[in-house]
Amino acid sequence: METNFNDIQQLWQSQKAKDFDIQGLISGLKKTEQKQRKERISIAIITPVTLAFLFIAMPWAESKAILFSLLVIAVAMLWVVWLSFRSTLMPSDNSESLSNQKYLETQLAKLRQRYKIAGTYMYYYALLLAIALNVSYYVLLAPFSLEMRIAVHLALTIIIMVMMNFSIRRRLKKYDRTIKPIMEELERLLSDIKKKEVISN
Amino acid sequence: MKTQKEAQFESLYLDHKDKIYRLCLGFVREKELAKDLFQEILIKIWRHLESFKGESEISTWIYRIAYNTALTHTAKEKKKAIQQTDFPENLDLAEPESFTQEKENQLNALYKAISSLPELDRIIATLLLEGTPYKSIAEISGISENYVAVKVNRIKTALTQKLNPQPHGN
Repeated sequence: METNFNDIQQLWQSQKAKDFDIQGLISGLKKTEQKQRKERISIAIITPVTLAFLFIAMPWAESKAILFSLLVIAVAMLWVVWLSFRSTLMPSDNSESLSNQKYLETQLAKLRQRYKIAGTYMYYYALLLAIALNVSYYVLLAPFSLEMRIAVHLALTIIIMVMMNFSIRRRLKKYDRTIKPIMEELERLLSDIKKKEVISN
Repeated sequence: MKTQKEAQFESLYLDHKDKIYRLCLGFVREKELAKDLFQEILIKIWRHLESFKGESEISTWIYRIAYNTALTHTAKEKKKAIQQTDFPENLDLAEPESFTQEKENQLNALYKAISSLPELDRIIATLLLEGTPYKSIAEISGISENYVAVKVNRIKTALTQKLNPQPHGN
């Protein structure tokens, strides 16, 4: 016997989800929310504490150069923390409830931004860090010979750049494995939706 | 004592669980994956419940979340990059016992037919099977109402053909 669309619709709607432990789910969700709240508090505390430690440990009152250096480090740290943990620190956005097309565009933009943070902004961060530390060392190394000072500045700059470069490349490799395939799939879905919309118009 | 959010979530769950579960099965077919997707959708509804501003019907809002989650779930599933959270492992979503084997087979054939459609068509097909008006389908998917009408005819034909295979070729 041939199945028509009304039969298909009836068949489809006959499938029911059996009740499950909704209270267990809510309890799990509340636990996760508590964990996220603690994470937000930790992020909000750790950065200022680190900065406070730097300001206590460094003789910034004795030199404007050291004060400048500490301020650059503070700005760089706050900037990177904001970029990296913006989604954790901010309340949830409403992108999940946008139309499919807009949602896919938002998700792609978010993933591209993660790549940009890891691949571009972290190099700016490394540069700011290198400048700030070199300014401090310029003051702290004043009593030493010129050769010694140049050697320390060079070593410091190279160490920062090599370490940051290593860390950034490792992060990008991880993103290539985890985020890139998702981005490609989302791009495919988005182009599919857009292509069909163009054909219909 | 239940908070207002908990009470609202429970009420939404009771009203929409069947439709959400069916869309999961239409998207991923395998029951285990459908359970994962079902749970992921409920988690997102919970997380975003406070951001619902009443600009659309709550059901439209829920289905947008559900379909968006299904789309990204499909993309993520390939990489198995699902975030771990503290949720119960025993989400029992088995069918009621009254389900006959024949019906089970028919349903499996239907899920197979739906999951063989492209993602956008899958969204339209499952909404159509729920009896959703074209206007809401357009709102959820982000395509024009006219295009929904065009797609609906093609999808109806495709599904009917897939479920009524011709024994001898063309």
